[in-house]
Amino acid sequence: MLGLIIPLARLGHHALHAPIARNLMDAAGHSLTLAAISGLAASLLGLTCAYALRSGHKPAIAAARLAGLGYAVPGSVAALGVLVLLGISQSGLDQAWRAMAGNPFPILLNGSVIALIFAYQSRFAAAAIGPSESALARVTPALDMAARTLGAGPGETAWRVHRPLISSGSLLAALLVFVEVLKELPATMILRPFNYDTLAVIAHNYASDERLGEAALPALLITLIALPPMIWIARRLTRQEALR
Amino acid sequence: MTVTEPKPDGRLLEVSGAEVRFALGRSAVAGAWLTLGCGQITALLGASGAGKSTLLRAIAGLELLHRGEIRFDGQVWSAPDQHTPPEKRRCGVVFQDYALFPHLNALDNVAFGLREGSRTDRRRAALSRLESVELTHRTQAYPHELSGGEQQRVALARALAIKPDVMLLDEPFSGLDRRLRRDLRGDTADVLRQSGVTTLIVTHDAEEALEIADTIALMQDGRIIQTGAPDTLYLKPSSLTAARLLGDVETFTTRVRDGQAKTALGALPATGFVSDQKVRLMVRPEGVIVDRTDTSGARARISHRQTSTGYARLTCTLENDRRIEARVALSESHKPGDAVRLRFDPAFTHLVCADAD
Repeated sequence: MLGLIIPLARLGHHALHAPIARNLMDAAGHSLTLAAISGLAASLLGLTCAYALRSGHKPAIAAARLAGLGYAVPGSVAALGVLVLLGISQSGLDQAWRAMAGNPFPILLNGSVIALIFAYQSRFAAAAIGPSESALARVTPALDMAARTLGAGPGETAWRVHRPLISSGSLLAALLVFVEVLKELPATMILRPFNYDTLAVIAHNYASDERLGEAALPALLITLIALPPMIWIARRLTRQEALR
Repeated sequence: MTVTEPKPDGRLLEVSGAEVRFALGRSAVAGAWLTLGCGQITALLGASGAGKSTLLRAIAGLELLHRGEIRFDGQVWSAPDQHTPPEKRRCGVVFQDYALFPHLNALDNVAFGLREGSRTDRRRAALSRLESVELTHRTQAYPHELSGGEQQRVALARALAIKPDVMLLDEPFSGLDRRLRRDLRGDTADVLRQSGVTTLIVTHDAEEALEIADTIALMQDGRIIQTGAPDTLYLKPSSLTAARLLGDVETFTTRVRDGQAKTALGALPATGFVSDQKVRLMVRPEGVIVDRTDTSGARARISHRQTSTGYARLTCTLENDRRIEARVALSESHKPGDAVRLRFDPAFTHLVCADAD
């Protein structure tokens, strides 16, 4: 009540009495696109890391653990890291392209959606690895062996045993990152392309101008979009607790 | 249990000099030789870490062979340069933790390996398998809803459903309580015999091996040290290690004199041994005869009596302070402090070379 309903009511009240920001729908579209792509990519990354951790190969395990560390890094620091990394890649590509084609390589990486998605992955990989790893833990080596001795090849085993057992974990990973990206501000502010606003960015801009009324609607939209996935996640976690 | 189709055939599973190596070059199976008779139940008995489960997995195709060969019906299944994948071997495996698919109910678990016919046919076949293990009332239950015994039966039905050429069971009763284990052991043996499939059961429980198997193979340090019928192995073990794998044993080391091995508890003809050879006489506790009226035999005093299931365990101390264990009927009135005479029953006694460990 104190944490959700009252603030929501207050925001709603503000939103009703303020003009609607011009680019609100564009920003909502950007937020949804970024969050959806990041969620999908994170679930794939989470799954890859979970398999790497399961493989028992030391370099693979180290890489997967390293990927999870980004969660502890503040968004602005991650953004700077991404800028440096992509800057180096861009100049490398540029040199190679000049050597081959004789003209400069188009600026694809810096200040683009690719940079944003990359930064989100590095920041939120841990949120995706956790659920994927615990889902994959249900697929014991004995289950693999059982499927193989029952006539299923590796592909069929992955489809009939792994997929059903890990799908809800992957969905959880995707939704967690979806919600995180929806709210993310610092990395987005630094890395976004020109005129590419998200709901969090315009809410922040209006709020820092003390125009709280205009800031209310984007904030409310973030909450409304994030709520259904969060309800699903909460129910799932409760069910897991009950099963335990 | 209902009768299922018997499938007699003359096909042998042969393991010749199989070697499986793990990381750091350690051999889990170090040159194992074994032949499984068709339609027979063979128990692979050994202490934990002896390499039993690894050998079972190698037969199923779940481990690669570094040396040796595994053949079925003359065809090479495993060799260092050849490996038939597990899905092509028709080996039904019951794993130690049963490995039931948690997202499938009992019926779908059993139907998992069925490939021929329509969905309805496959479900019907799975249902008849569940019937053979008396679980038709639990078809819709998920593994976590099944008891340990029910899970074991579903795993058995699932492995048998693919009509395997060879059945491999890895400690299939280890997770169950004693009474259930006993019941299930008998039922499982019935189902396996009725289906006529060549079976290998891995176990560390001597009682289980003796009760269920036609043949027992004893495994130690990655090698098969003796193979034979349960009675033969129990009464005529080839070494002290073999004897101990199957139960308690008292040993006496002595030298052959006048064609006999003489000990404090009596003498045994030492056929096949040369004079003055060092030999080890092994006697099972039930072969130690305890008598209060006897005038021959070794003098001893009973120091401890313990009641066990079906017999009393007596600890007797000889005059030289050596302790000997004996098993007598519960009706015998021997009690601690009694002076008795001990001798052995030759039927429970066996002689081996002293260096046959």
